[in-house]
Amino acid sequence: MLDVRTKASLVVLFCVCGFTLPTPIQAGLILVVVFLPFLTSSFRFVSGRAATAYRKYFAYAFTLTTVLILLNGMLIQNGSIVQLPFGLHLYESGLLFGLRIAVRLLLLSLALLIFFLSTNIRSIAVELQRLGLPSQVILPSLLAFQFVDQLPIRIERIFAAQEARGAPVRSHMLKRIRSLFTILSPLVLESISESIERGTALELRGFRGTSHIAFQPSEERVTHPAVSIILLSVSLILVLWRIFQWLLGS
Amino acid sequence: MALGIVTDRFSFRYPGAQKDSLTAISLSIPPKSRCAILGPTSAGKTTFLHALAGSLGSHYPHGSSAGVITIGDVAHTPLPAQILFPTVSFLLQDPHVQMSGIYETVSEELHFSLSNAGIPIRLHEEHLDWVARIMNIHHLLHRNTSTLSGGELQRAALATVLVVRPQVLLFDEPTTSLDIPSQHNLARVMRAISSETTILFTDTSLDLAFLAADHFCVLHKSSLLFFGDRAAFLRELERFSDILPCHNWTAISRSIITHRDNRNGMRFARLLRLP
Repeated sequence: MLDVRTKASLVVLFCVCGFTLPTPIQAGLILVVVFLPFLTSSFRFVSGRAATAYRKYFAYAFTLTTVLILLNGMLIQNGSIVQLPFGLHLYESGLLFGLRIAVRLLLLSLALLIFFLSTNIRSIAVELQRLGLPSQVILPSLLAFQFVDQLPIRIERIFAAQEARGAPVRSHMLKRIRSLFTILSPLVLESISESIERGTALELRGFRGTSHIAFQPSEERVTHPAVSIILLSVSLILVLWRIFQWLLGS
Repeated sequence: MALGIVTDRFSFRYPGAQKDSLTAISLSIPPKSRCAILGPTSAGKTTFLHALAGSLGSHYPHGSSAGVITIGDVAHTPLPAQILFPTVSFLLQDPHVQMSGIYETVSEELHFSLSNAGIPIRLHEEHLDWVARIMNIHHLLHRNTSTLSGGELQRAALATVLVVRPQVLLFDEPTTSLDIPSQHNLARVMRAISSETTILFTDTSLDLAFLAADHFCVLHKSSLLFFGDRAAFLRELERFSDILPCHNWTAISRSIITHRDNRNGMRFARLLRLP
């Protein structure tokens, strides 16, 4: 069973790979990350809600990456032309560029998603405290994590509200993309409003910058400092290697 | 020890606003009383509570204000500039935001409030026992906050501010997510704690007010229309029929006055704590 620090180190490594390794290797890593929750208990989802969020992520990720690739194929007009039905055509260079960006984004977002869906907030808090971070840093960080945790519920609620108003939020892909805009503005507004309310409530409960927050670890976990060091060292080597390549001009 | 609250011609205008959110509010709420602040939406009820809690002065230091707010023996001219927790505790309208979200159980949330109030750890269990007994939430203490129902969450949220045993307790529209039995329960809690806490709560309806309050304040369009005790409020109830849903209550009030010599009428009046 991996501790939070080791898991975070692995996520850092995946993120570094997303910026340093060639696209085919990144695509392979995406497959590894996709199956991580089913391969090891350390990355098992913390709740049924987390598992549902993971499934839903793929629907959104597929839509967004498809749009990203098609947009690049239309806008970057270099290379050979790829003919599509109805007289439409896209450009090969744009499509490849879009694919590279999409693979990178998928790897980064999946690695972070897997970490947060398989780690409860208390474990993160305990780890941040072990690192010696002050309360005024830990609390806002945890509130941000909690916001991410609540995001699927929020989106579902706004979906239901927009659907009740006749918005085609569960229709086919193009209509979904259009309805995305009707979801985004209430999502952003609601998030801002709730953040202010939550902050006010915390203040009214006496939380100030100097307040101390204490978390007791729910269970003692075996730590793997050597594994973390190896993972972070590999990340560092990859970054240095990429900088070296850039200096050589390749 | 409950504190009295006196406001003397207190006015407030948000920065950039064209008109006052509160205009010349003068009232005197005795210690240990339970005061219902009633009025339609946008009357200034929530702003008034924020002014008493200190969050208005703290969040809007450049707001235009006048008058005096006195809480206990301390006069704030014109309003408290800092949040007065734990002397004054404030329960916001949405119980979801009352939970910090970073602690898993209700018990941990209560410890968080106690730590913020600077209450020594050795006294935490005593406070927890007290609030659990008063609120009847022993069974919720070790529950995960994300698994609580709406009514349970409302009770847990109230416990997070009550656990510090404040001298003044403010509720913003506490009946929003409460069914009728829960409102009765809340009224019972208010009566139970009023020996050591002055309570102010806002509402747009009269049901909880008649169940729990002994003083009534009616705000409309930022101004104070009425402040007085239960008997005075009942006498003038019909004045507010345009801004408060009081037609049922005026009928009940008349009926009780008509049947005051009737045993059922007397029993009903006692049940509703009518004069």
